[in-house]
Amino acid sequence: MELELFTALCTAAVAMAVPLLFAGLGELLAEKSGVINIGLEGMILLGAFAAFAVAHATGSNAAGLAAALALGGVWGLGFAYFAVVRGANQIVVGTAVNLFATGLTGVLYRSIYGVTGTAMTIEPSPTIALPGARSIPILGQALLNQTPLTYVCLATIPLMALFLARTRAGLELKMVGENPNAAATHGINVARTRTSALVACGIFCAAGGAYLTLDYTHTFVEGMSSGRGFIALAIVIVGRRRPAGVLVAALLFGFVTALQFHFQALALGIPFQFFLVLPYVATLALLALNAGDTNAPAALGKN
Amino acid sequence: MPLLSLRAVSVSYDDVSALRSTDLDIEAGEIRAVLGENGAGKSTLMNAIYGMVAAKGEFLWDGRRVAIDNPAEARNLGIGMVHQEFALVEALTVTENLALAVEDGTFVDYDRVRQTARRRADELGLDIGDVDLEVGELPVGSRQRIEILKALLTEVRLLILDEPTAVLTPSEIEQLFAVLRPLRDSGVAILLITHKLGEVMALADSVTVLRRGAVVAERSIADTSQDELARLMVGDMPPSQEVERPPARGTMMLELTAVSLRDKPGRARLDEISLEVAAGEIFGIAGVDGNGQQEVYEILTGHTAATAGTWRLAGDIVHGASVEAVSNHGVAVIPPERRRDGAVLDMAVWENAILDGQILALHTSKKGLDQNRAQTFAAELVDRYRIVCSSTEATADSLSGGNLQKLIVGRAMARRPKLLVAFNPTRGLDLGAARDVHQAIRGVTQWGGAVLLISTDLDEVLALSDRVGVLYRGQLTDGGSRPFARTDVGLLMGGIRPARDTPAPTLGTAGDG
Repeated sequence: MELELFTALCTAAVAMAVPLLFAGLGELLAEKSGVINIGLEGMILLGAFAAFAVAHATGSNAAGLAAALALGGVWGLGFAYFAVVRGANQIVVGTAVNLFATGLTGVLYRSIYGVTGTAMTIEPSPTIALPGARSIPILGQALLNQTPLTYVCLATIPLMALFLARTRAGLELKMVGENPNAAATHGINVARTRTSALVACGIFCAAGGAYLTLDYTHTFVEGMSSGRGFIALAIVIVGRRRPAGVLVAALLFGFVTALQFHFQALALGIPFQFFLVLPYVATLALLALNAGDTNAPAALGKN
Repeated sequence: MPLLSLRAVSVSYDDVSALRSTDLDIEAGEIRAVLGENGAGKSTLMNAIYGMVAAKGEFLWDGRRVAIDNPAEARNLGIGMVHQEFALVEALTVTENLALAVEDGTFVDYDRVRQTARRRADELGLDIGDVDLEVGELPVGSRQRIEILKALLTEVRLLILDEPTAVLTPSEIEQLFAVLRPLRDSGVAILLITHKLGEVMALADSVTVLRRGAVVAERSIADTSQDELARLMVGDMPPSQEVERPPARGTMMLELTAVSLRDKPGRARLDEISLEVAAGEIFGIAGVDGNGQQEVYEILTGHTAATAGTWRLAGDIVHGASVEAVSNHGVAVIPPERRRDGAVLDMAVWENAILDGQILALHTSKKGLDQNRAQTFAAELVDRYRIVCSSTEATADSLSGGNLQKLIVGRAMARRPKLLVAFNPTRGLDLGAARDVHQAIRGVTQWGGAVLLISTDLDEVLALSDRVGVLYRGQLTDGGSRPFARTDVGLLMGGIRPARDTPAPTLGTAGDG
């Protein structure tokens, strides 16, 4: 394969991986605390819409990002209210979030911007080339010439690994997810820990959504999260609930997605739907290989 | 001045009073036992002291009034607790489980946790093994040592132990006592919750007896006896007596020959178990939980097929696994998880009373279920086994554990089983209900049935059985027959063969030959 093509594929892979990574890292925190949040998809979509709407209105992508993160936190809090405080079924709450987000963003988009047929666009977030972007082959371009949000995303991974492995709060989070009763005997407030994890999860998902509109597509399309929330759920399992594992799984998925774009562009005479399905087949295959999800926190999904 | 004084402490759950106006004093350097039956309020009292339940009343610590609203405050005062259900996280390592007791900064220095843990364990004489293993990989005795170490890592002036010996072998219990005595001598106050009289006499300095949520007596150990404590604990009922029955000599109701069970990776869960139970005989299987009891139970009830060996019921070989076939052979079962496997909780008492293939058949005709007869049958059971319920229409869920168990036992008895398989039949029951259950189990032998009793409560096994086998790591060893050498059985439970010559592990019938 030509070097240029491979560089392009890797750059695209990173770009595709960032929203998955954000959502996956958020889900990682939620699951470590014992809560399964299948509302990632809806939270991404809400973040994407909020970021787009505010950036479009103010002309500031930073304001769009801030609005998205704030909204994500609020949604995480709302999820926690139902699933943790009120003890509602987590799957039901997650599904409600997804359905509500799809409806809400659709209605708001049409009522604010009308059905124009032409996509509304915003200023793309600028990329910032870090030292080495030009000199290091392939990875320099893929990793060191990206938007600020991408750098934040990548930097979060070692920080989260450190958080889980070395901090008191990280240990408390793991205890709550494994054995809430034992955690309570340590004086840990289980509900507060889970609520914090869910607020963080909401913020992470919204960041993923904001990346989609601000950094990647520069527009908003109804349902533009297109299953990324569910792929992120899968990535957390495939990545064995470790930040580095989630990174590898997200990059792998990103790469397969980039590859399918490339295949489509080659016009091989195969229906394009075949290529569209590739990343999902890859996810399914990886999930199948990980059958028996043995390292799931013991209290995951239980109220 | 006492280290801790409770004055008029009360706890209620949903308007049900669990602890009523309780006073308690404990001095530094004292081991005080809190004795009582299940449901007497022992655990509630301890949870109140440890800040895990909201309590009314006064707590005086060093004579100073304190509020203990959560475990963190209890810990700050210097109260440590070893919970009955260990408060350990199985998926985390020993070090991680101990870390929160050592570190209070933002970051956790696991090396320091390791060092502190090892040093303190050495001081206390606790063998904690490899601190980098996951707790889930450790045997129950080690887990308890970790739990104790966790409570004692910080400066503790009062240590609460909630039923600490429930899951230990006799030798592990001795090891535990050997750790607790010097701790007391160093000035730590220890509150020991238990319902085992022997332990109270062996370890405690003083005892507080609880009954139905209230203190009924306080004694110094020097001024009391096991008999008095038993009376105080259960009220006016006479203490249980061992009934001597003539040795059984009848047809073989159950014969297991070299029965083995291997799991998928090929490990032996049961290793060539052989035993025979004759008509009119009670055979007890003792052992610490998790040594193969569940497997024996599942094979005998037809839930699991043995991977090798043969077993016969009243002479007929049983092939494969079939709950129905086993039941049709005349086997009745008292399951260990009574709420899960013994009854349908949403259904009425009368419906649960006929919830058995054979009993159901007696109450159905071509026209279907004869409700009147079923109701009459249920009313008889309720009457005969003194089951307390509002009516036979009440749901099984509304029954207390003891009354539910009496319903399950009564249902099993109504079949006049050839073989009764009972697994932990009185776990969690108070003495009164336990006595009724024991009486019913003994009753099986009167019509020539046989009983296989699997129980992790050694007292129960020795009180009921004619002969005993001990399960240890999937192997069954002869524990002798009546009168039992209690110490030897205790050693076998810990995998230690008594020094004297033991018979071959194959178990023949008492009085054979």
